[in-house]
Amino acid sequence: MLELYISAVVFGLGISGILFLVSIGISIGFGLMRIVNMEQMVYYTFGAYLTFALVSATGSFVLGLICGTAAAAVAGFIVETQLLRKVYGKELMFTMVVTFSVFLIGIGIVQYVFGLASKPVGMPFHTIVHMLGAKIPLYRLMVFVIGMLVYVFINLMLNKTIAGKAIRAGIENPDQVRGLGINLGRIFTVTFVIASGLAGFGGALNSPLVGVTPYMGFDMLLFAFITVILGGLGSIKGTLVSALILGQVISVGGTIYAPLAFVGPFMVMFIVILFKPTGLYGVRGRAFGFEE
Amino acid sequence: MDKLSRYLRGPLTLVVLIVIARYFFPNKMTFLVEITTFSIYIIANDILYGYMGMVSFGQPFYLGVGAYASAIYLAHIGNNILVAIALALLMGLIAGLILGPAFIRLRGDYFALINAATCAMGLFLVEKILYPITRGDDGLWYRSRMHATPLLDLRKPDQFFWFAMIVLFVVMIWYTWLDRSAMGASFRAIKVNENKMKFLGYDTFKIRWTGYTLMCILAALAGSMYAINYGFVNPSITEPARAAEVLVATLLGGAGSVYGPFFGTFAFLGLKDLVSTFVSRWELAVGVLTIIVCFKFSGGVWGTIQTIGAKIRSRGKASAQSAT
Amino acid sequence: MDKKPVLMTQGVTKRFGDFVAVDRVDFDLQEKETLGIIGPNGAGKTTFINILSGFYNPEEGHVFHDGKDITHLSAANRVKMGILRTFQLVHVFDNLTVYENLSLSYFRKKENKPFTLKMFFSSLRQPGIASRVQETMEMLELDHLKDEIVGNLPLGSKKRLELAMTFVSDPAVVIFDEPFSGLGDQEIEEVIDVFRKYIHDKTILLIEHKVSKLEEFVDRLAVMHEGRIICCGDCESTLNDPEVRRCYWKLET
Repeated sequence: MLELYISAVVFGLGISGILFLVSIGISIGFGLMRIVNMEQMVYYTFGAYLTFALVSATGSFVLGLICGTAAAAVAGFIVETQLLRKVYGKELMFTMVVTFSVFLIGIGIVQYVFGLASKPVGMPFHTIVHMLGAKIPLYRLMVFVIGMLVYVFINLMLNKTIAGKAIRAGIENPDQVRGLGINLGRIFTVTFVIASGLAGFGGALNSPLVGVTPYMGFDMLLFAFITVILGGLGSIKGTLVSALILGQVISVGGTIYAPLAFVGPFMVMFIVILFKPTGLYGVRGRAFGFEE
Repeated sequence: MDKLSRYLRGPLTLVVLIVIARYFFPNKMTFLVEITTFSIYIIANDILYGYMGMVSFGQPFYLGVGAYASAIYLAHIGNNILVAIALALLMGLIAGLILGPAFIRLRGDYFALINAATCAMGLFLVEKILYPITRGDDGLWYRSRMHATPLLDLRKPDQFFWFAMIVLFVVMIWYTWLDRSAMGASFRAIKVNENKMKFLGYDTFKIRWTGYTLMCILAALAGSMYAINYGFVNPSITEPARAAEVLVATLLGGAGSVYGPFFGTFAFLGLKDLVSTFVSRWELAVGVLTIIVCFKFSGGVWGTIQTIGAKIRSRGKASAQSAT
Repeated sequence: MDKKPVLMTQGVTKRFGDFVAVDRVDFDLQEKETLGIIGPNGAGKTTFINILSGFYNPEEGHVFHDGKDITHLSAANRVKMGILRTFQLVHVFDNLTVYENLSLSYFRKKENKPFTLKMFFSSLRQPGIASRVQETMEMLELDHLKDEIVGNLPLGSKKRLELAMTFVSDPAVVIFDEPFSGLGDQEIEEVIDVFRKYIHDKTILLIEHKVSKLEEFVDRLAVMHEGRIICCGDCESTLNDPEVRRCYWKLET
């Protein structure tokens, strides 16, 4: 019995890693650019599909991982410079509708290129580690560790580099940064490319676990939404904490009672926002049309 | 009398046009019923988005509430179609009253996202958790269980068409009225400046709640009409992926206007019909279409019609002046 | 004349972190008087009227209206008691017409408790509302703009509209937050004209940072400095008060 729960916890950690990687873009995008970029899941899908394509063509998972991340970053670069620049500063509703359309277009492209059927992606390795009597696939553990490394890396970047400091200042007070003569447009692009790269990376890592299907972004979008709402839009730490919570709710909750894997995250989010409408670590800001 | 005709003129013209179209293109009747039902669904979203400025990515959920309320009643409990519709409206009301207080307190972005999450939840509910009742992906089939209704037999497509016309007529009159009532004005006022509304002494929470509940009821009505017209319901009606359709149709028609939703529906379903004969996947087309509408036609079809109308009128005036 | 205070505060204090924005202010506004509060930027004037109008709750002290404690009453409830305010930046509904803006304001007053169902069944064009709105529009020379969408109007007209939205519901107290800010000379003249005509039998609190525009129509003048009201009395004595001279003129000139 115990080993069942131990493996559930580790599975949950793996899920947390993925959730964190794919939601971070939505969270930062809101904090810095004041847009809800729903098209992040396009990069997730691209990352996963490129991994699929390269693993089936060359058999090398690492190559797939690198190319998937790169492709997602390039896609993010194109979308940001060609389209999203025009929507910065527009009302939130407008940006949501536009980015959602980009998401739909992305799905359409994936369907056009790869077809509708869902496809499996080969696991890079099948190593099993034994932990307190539970058998745990090393890959899931690795996903979690990578997720945490990314968090540490992002934090280091935000705190130690000049660009990072500018991004942080931008999240706190965009007007001030503009006033300092920093090119906010370039910072937006860099941040966006990193965020979409991470989403692609998350998709690549997740592809052996769930396989690829054109609608995989939709399924993930739901969980990404719940993650950022629970954590609070605009907070990196909040995204991490809520990813950790949700991973366990999905995995351990699902072990206790199967439907909880799906209903649990929603319930947790619902309860939290009832008491704290901005999520766990949400930045305070404009409530619905209400100025502070 | 004159006042009354102001509210009747528009809706009547619309219904008469559809009825004429039905006799000119008899094989397009299904399409016309589809437009009618869908435009009620879009009106619901327009109250939320066009009037109050709240985007929801989970509209299919509210459609599903109505559809499944009717379907479950017809498949398991009773045979009376009118009761099924009443039940759908009631469920819409309940959903609005219960979910409203939790949802409308949220900021705009959270509101949109939580609706999307709710919608996915709803899909999961009818697919998996309520499987014994909803039969999951197989859907509920109950056409043979429906009993004839007096006056109009709603089981027959051509009689359902007349029923749809009556519903559309009533909804449009109500909607025209709403647009001109104090409520409609407060909806629009809240959209731009909720603060000022509070300092005029209005309880903006209640106004939002009312609008949200209205949206739920109307969407449920549309869902119920789908359920009865098709005689079966399956989970695809609540698919989150279809949330985009609603927004696109609303934008396409011109958000926040009385006739926008109808023209938006007409344009959207018409385009979808055309596009689907060339491209098998609608996502790409819908996505591109939305972006074009967002950036180029912010007023939508109805807005464009109005602008052209205004131009013609002003030109008419100018030429009349130059003639004298 | 036997006047009673309509609005009164006792020891009202509001802090933002360590900064004391409003510091133990005692203040009263008499019926049918026009009181101006002047003070440099950052003196706490806006914070003070935010407390009066229910935007913030003060940390200490009380606010009274007609002898009733309204310290913790919501903004909407204060409006129902007839305490209206304007904002420093123009706050009107840009997507509605001039008529709709005004009738929304008057509708609330007419119904007093706008029961939600009632709002459905009430047309804003009903005669009871239309006549009053028409009257106000004529008073403020807005009637030719009746069906214009407010978003298309110049700033001066918007400001007049905002004043009209306040006057139309015949409030017990009006609080104006820097009614001249952001306006050009011409527009300021227009607003002053409006004031000259309608201000005399109303209870009004005006906030400004320059005294020059207020002198001609305020009954009493108060000076706010670093969160405190340092002097309050008729115009002349206030301006001659030694402390006011020390704190204020030094900054003004």
